[in-house]
Amino acid sequence: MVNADDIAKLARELATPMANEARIRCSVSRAYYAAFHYCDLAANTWCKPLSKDDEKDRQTHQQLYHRLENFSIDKTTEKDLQAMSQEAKNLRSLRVQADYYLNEKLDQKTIARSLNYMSQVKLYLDSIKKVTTKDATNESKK
Amino acid sequence: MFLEAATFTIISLGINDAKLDNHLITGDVFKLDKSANIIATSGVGIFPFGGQISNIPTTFIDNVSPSFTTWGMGLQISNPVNEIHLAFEKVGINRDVGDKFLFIAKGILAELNYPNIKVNPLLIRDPEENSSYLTLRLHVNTSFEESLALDSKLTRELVHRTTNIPENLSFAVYEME
Repeated sequence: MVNADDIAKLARELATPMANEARIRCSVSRAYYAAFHYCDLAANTWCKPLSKDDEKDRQTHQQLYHRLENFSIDKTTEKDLQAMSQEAKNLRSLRVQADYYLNEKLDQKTIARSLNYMSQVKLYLDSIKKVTTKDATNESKK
Repeated sequence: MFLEAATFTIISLGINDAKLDNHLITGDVFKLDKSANIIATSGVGIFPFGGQISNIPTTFIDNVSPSFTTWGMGLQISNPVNEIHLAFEKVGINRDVGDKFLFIAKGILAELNYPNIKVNPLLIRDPEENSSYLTLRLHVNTSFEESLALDSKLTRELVHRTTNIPENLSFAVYEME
């Protein structure tokens, strides 16, 4: 079974210094989906589900970021979840350019930027994992 | 084209030795025609860059759609004001709300010693989700590599200092073009 790390690895593999524009676009797109899956994992672990009202008028990706930004189950992770969402949303814009707007030139800097966003999303995920694991350990010691 | 930024006549508005209140620094140059924000001014000039400025009204600015560069209190911030407000409108963000977040973002960069900021709004239509997103690109005098680090710092700080960032608004730091 594949996971978000595998997709992130592919995004990095596509980001070669000599990558042509088609490859650049694929890398940006994969980086976004890796970030999306990191966010999805975070939302499913540390967020409450959206209400029907909150789901309404929002598509899948918007629902995910809305959930991360507003439905944290724990105050200690709230800001990290929001920052994670912001990083992913910045990457989303690059991904939409990469997949749909072929007239717009994307270059190596776009790859570097998108991989940076993806890495930030992963860092937030790891940071939240650490905090919550520590909290759980402290709780079990009591 | 997904880049929906309109083309405007570009006018640079220079105010030498002027003290400007915070509201003006956020880029609301429309206040200038009433001058209430200018406390002391030793020189005001309008300098066109490749545009026609024959129809500037006596009320100064109201009927043109310029990009502005303002100088005041040591800051030099270039703002395509109308372009930004138009972008807010297109993604359904209240202008005051959008301006507030932009002001905070600029303040964070100024604290990080990047007071010279050029704002470039980028509207992107996502055909898959049938929605539009606005990224305000903040260009500062720095290297590409440093802009990435600043981008991450800005996101972290903005999230910690604010609540309820509009869901279709994001900020990114870019090197100056």
